[in-house]
Amino acid sequence: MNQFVEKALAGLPPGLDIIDMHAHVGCFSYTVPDRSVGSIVASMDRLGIAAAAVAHIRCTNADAEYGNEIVCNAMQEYPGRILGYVGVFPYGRTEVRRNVERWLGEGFSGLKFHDMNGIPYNHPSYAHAHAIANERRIPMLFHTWGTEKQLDHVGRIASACPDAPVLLAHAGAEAEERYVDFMKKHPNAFLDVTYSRSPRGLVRRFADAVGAARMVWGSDVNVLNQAQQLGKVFGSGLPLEDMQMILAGNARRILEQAGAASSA
Amino acid sequence: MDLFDAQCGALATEPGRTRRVAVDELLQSMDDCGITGALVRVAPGTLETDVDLANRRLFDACKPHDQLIPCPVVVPNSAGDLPSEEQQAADALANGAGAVWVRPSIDDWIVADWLCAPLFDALEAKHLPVFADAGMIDFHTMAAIAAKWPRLPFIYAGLHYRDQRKLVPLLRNFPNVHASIGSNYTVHSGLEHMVAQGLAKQLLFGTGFPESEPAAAVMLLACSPVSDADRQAIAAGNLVSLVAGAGR
Repeated sequence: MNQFVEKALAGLPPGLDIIDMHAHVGCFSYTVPDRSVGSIVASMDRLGIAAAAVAHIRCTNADAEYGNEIVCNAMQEYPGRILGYVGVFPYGRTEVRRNVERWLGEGFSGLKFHDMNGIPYNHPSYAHAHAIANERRIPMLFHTWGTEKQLDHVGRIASACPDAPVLLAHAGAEAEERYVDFMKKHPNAFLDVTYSRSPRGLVRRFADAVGAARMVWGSDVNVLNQAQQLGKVFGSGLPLEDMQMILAGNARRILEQAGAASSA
Repeated sequence: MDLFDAQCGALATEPGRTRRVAVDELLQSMDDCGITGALVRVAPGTLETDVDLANRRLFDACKPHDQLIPCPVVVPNSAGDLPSEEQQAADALANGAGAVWVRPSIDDWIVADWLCAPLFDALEAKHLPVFADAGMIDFHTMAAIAAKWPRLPFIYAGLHYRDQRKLVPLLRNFPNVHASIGSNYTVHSGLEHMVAQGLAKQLLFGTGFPESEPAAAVMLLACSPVSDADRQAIAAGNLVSLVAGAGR
């Protein structure tokens, strides 16, 4: 039997180093029974997850600053366990720069971009945010769903910011091949395999195509279940060292480069 | 802990794939995840249009493996071109079925009393559980048929992580509805919340194989903070009871 499934069935944690590079606080419109930061940390404790990098769900709208404040509070409540992505909303070039610098000064570890707001990632208002990420070598997490236009925009940013790790969230939710092509063109890109459906074989196919060294694990907690999202990696059949790279090794490298790993 | 998968299949293919999912793949996956039994459908179902052929292959494939319980497709004989609903139910039971699958959108029917009442009447008479996918039978329809046939158990699968607000009252109002926690039910804190609401007896372990990675569903159940008794009921006990009741 799969050793991690066996451990879970015995009530034991996986016993691996794990960092969740895609997590949230806040809420969408549908029900999640316990959205509290405490419930996320409790889940992390059960699974042996060292740290989770969270963005507030209000990064999707013009109330992003409220969300950043909440994330900052969570970071202070759980130092080293909860890391922060600045939710970047395109208020305007100057305001974006001011907001990003403010929150990075508070110890946030990366930037989160979401195009649910209807504004493309290459909108001029975002320019300073991209430039700061490149200059400080901090990760940029982009919500993606495999569309040609979306990946084209992110690709332009990845090319212009070669020193910033570019994380493609929900890689493989649609258009698996398009993600593989993207990775061939952009050496600073990472596939973030967060996706509710956990398609059988997807993690393995990505690792075979681009290498485990270019993948990170995320769960989408507090929306999705962290244990369920871990299962897709445990069931992938990858060698242990590859799993370990996906689950934490690459994340630690990214965070270390950003100066945030020491706390994780 | 025993695991009995309520939501899995094999033997079919799907658009974009070049081969059918073999029963051996299912068995291997069950071994990898410690799954000791499975209610098996012909899946993925989108390209499987010959119900009679599919059911015969399913029965043949399950026969050599005690741990595989077939869940064949049934279709209303509303146009008079199929065996009667009673005959379909009897054939299913004669071939060891633990439940049957209704898939209106694939088999081109709709859930309306004037069309499918004879089918659900026949299934209720045989106490043969019905597997329904939320992608084909929405919550309104599920509630309506659960209310009309209250002695007929339903296995409701293919649920979404956005469904919690509808799922909890569905289960609370219709004790004959049982929900699979297989793909795409992936709610943070969702399982323990439903158990705390007293709904553990209506929850079933399921994986979503072959589309989804089974270890994901095992992890969800194994790592949720619920009592061992509730976990075991969800893992296998509830489905074992449903299947054992088929035909009785």
